[in-house]
Amino acid sequence: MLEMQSVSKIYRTHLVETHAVRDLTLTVEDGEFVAVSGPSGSGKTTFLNIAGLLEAFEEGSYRLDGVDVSGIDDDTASRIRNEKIGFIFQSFNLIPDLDVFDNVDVPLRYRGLGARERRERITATLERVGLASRANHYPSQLSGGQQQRVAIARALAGDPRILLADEPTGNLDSLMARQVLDLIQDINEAGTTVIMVTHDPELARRAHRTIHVLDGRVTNLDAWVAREAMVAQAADS
Amino acid sequence: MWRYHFQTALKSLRRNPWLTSIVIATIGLGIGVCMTTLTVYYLSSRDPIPAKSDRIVAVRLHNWPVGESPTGGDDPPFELTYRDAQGLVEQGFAKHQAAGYNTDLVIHPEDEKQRPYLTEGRLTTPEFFPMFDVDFAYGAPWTKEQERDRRMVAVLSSEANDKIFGGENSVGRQVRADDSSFTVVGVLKPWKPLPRFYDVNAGAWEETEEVFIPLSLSPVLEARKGDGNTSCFAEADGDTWQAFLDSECVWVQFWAELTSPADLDQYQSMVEGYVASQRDLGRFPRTENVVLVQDVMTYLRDFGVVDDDARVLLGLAFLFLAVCLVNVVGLLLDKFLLNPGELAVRRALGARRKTLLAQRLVEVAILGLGGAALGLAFALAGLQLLRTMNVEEEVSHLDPKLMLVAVGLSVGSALLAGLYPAWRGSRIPPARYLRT
Ligand SMILES: Nc1ncnc2c1ncn2[C@@H]1O[C@H](COP(=O)(O)OP(=O)(O)OP(=O)(O)O)[C@@H](O)[C@H]1O
Ligand SMILES: [Mg+2]
Repeated sequence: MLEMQSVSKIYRTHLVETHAVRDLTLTVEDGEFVAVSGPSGSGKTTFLNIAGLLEAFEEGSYRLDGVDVSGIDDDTASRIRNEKIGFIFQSFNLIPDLDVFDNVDVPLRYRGLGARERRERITATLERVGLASRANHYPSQLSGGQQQRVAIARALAGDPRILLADEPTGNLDSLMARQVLDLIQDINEAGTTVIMVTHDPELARRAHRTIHVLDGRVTNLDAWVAREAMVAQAADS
Repeated sequence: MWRYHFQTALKSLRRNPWLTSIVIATIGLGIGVCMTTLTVYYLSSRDPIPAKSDRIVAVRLHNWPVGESPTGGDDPPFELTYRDAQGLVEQGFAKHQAAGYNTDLVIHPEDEKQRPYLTEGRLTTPEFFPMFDVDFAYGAPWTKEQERDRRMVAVLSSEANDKIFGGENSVGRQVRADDSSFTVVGVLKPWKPLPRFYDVNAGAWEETEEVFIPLSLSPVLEARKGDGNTSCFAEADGDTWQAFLDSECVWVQFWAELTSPADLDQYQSMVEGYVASQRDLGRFPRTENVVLVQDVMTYLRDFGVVDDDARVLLGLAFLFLAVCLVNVVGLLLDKFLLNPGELAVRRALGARRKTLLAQRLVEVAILGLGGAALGLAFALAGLQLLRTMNVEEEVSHLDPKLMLVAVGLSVGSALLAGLYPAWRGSRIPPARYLRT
């Protein structure tokens, strides 16, 4: 279970301060599939990075599986990322000079698993994403959809509790996007919590619920629409 | 994990072959220059007789008038007069003592078909051999009685015995040198102290002499000094060899072995006693700075076997290495921050900062090993070059111990240069460098 209480993240450069995430409160239950939508620059990626312990935050509290993870040291955060969290990105982020097998191997190496167990897990996850025959291909030899499935295999090989996906289908055509989404849905049905950022309402509909992020805040969309309308009205009159 | 780091490092190095080559070349150049100078320095300054060098001492006596000295400073000359060297041998203050000098000899091999050849011999006293731990293959040194009685006996070096007698046990046989014939009493095992500390005047990097004969034969054979300087503050009393032997010219080496280094002061005062007795004969006009007793390494340092130029050169070489390393730091900063994307991905997948740091340091150590290999090749070339410039063969070959030093120095330098870039790389904020 993921619980964020009034979490804020401010990016400071010498020119500007950006409230990327502002007073964000959210609970995601185990096994949920949550879609996150919102306009560009609204703080979706920042929220995922905080959720994935890749980014520190200034205010608020964050409990992951009942453990307070605000201000934990690098070793602990790295171990939690390695064991509990899987990441998928819009641009795949595969390591170009490692073949498919070695890409999936990376998190397992950092977990310190033995050669046999690593091999078994890699083979099993590659089969699960339908790429067992491509183990020795390099990312550049694969289509976008295949690359994203390798990335999913890499995220899954470590058996994470939570899958964090940042626009996983953003770079794919609709057929490939559908295949990838089917896969993510399968993974969720097998018990993994999924939080997925997407712009596409079509895709968001597959989730159990959608949260809207606006200006760094989780927003009740209906209330927002109503308020915008009121503001527009007031401006008109 | 280390194996994984190693594989990852090799991949990373292969990704930018040019940068990798330049880093290795830069380290290699620095190491090569350092190892070249370090080799010459190390081989020139090594201890030729480590087991005893702290209790084997040279005696230096100042028989010059006040205000004059052949050494440049005011220290006593590095060698003694024949009479003082013989006098101190006779006194026998120390456990062992020996006087001696180097001479040229023409050997006439037994085999008539072989041509006579010119070589170096040494006139010395019999304790030379036990004092310097010289091992005998056959026979033994001549005795004190034979020395006193001016017997025509000789000890041959292993090389001479090979050349003259084909390596057989030649004890009891005759060897002809110049116009004399000597009975062989002993044959040495191969022996080549470097530097040839017991006679640096005749050359610290020369071969060991081939034939050793009693010093007491000097007046008989009129054996002139071979290599090395002779300094005199006054003309000898006449042209004869005996007159030269009785003169105040200094040209004979004298060494003594003490039972322990702690005996040095006591020994010094005994020698001072000898000098006092000589004053009765009107010798040793000065009172200050007359007797100097020095152990082997101090004597060699004073003599300047390792000159100051070598030290300056060594300093410059290490400065050059430092300049190379500063460049390597720059190159590695470039290299390690070149693709932060991969580092960010690895962080997201669970690599700790420490893990990335360790992986980078493995990479740097590999660069260091490459640098060591190239550096040794450069050093070999450098030493070759020095030999063509008349640097002695003996001090310009790569020693196995120094090769290890080269590897250690290179890997150590690489780690030093790589530490900061690797640390920087391990601390990139992953969220900023993940492509979303
Ligand atoms: N490293 C950073 N330094 C400064 N500002 C940043 C940084 N990262 C993000 N921001 C700012 O924080 C805000 C939120 O960015 P974020 O990437 O989370 O938005 P997003 O919702 O993911 O947008 P998109 O849909 O375009 O991916 C933006 O205004 C962005 O400019
Ligand atoms: Mg984003």
